Amino acid sequence: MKAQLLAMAALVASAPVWAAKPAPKPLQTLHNVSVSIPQDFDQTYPAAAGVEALNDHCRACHSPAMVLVQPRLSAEEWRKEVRKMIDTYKAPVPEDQVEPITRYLVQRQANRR
Amino acid sequence: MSPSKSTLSRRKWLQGAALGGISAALAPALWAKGAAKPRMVDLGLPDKPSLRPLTRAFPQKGEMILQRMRPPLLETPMAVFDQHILTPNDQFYVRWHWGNIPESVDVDAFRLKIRGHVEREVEFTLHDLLHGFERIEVVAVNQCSGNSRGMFQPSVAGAEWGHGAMGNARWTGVRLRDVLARAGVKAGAVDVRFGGLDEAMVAEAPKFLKSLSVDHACDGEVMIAFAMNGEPLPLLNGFPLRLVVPGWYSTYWIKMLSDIEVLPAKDSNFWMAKAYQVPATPFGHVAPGTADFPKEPISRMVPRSLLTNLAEGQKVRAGTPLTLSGIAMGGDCGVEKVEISIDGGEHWNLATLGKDLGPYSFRRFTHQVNLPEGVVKILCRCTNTKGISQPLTMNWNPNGYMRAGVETVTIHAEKRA
Repeated sequence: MKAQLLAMAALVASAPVWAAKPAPKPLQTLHNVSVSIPQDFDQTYPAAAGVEALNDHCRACHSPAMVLVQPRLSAEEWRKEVRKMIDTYKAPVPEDQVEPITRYLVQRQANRR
Repeated sequence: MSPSKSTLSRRKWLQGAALGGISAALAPALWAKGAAKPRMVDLGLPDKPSLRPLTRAFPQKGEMILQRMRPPLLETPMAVFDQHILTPNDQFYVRWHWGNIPESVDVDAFRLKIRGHVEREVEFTLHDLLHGFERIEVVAVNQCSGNSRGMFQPSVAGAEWGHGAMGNARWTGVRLRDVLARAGVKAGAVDVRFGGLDEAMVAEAPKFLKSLSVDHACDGEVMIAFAMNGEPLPLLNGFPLRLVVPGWYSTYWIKMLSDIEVLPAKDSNFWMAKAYQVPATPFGHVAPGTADFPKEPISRMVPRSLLTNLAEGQKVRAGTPLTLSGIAMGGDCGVEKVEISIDGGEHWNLATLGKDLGPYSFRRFTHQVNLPEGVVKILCRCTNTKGISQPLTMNWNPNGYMRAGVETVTIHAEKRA
């Protein structure tokens, strides 16, 4: 009896790969899905002159983090990015905030290295 | 003895964990105060911040590289490609344009609508799609147009991806052609436009919509997929339905597909006419700095190959057999061959190709080498079944699309490594 049990245990332990992976059955039905996608509205831009403009106007649509890992851009290039957000993607950024935002982005990169 | 492949790759790709001094801004507060700092990965991106946190915070997702939390941009770690030819669903990369993404889907209420220039508008339930059409299956690479943008030199603005904005899966679904036939495409139809459940942040902003020509849409390969590697799609990869466009960049693979509109004219919406434009040249290449050139919407993928078991700067043992391993793709057709050079491109040898899962799949390649002591530049080059080879000079364009030139990995072969 004991020997039998041991033999069975050995069989289980050495179960072949195919036994562990049955061919998947074709999908017959889908089930409701409900998830929670993480947010980061509590994240702010690093403190520096003009940071309020970014914290107030640049966080509704995207995380600050992506802005902070961009390659070094000129003032003209940054201004173009800000304008794209307003003109193309319709971000409700007041016109008088374009320059403060641009200045912050340029200055921050100047301080980066 | 040569070190094991997975150890090699994991060591390098996860070594960022040891690097401190990360700006708090780069590591969003997924981690409560007092919690351990997130592990970081160094993607080796030139001329820009290169470290990214690893995260397990996203639903139905395992460990991913966090490029952006909102809207989600999650990159697949390189080690995953070393271990799997079919990318596991929970480590398949994620990319959304707008943050307005439904967090739940009621499968009984969901409808796929076909409308526009058709004989009759129709709506399909998920049950209809699972049981009312012939099923097809394809293994296909889904690659972001901007995959590897972070490697561009000179750098360009955008999502600064490493090489992991791509994945390979076995997709199951129905032919778009068969679904369109139920609605009856009218004569004179030009484009077919696809939209998902995601919405722009403000009503005036352009909803993310992409189109294919009617001929392409009806080629019998374009698929409405409800399964990925035999399972329902993760919500962030497009549950319940995703368009699969084999051989074409992912921008066309609309997620949470819910609306198909047949158009009597060429689609002029922003995402087709203005965004995702590449130079109308082979590999979308122009000389760095060029801004003025004929453009066209990005379309077919081009061949690529990447070493997956060796990373930039890695140390290995010289004078010992070492197996190089990687993945290749033909782009819009199969892989004909992969060649390897261990002398910076002077001499090339054929790599051994792994199992063929079809023309749109990744293909494993391996090659045995015995490296001399010193700094070794290893290159791999894929030629596809149409005879197109990866260019030796890296391709470039101002939007950072279609990177596909031969990649070089510099490693250090030492007596004791």
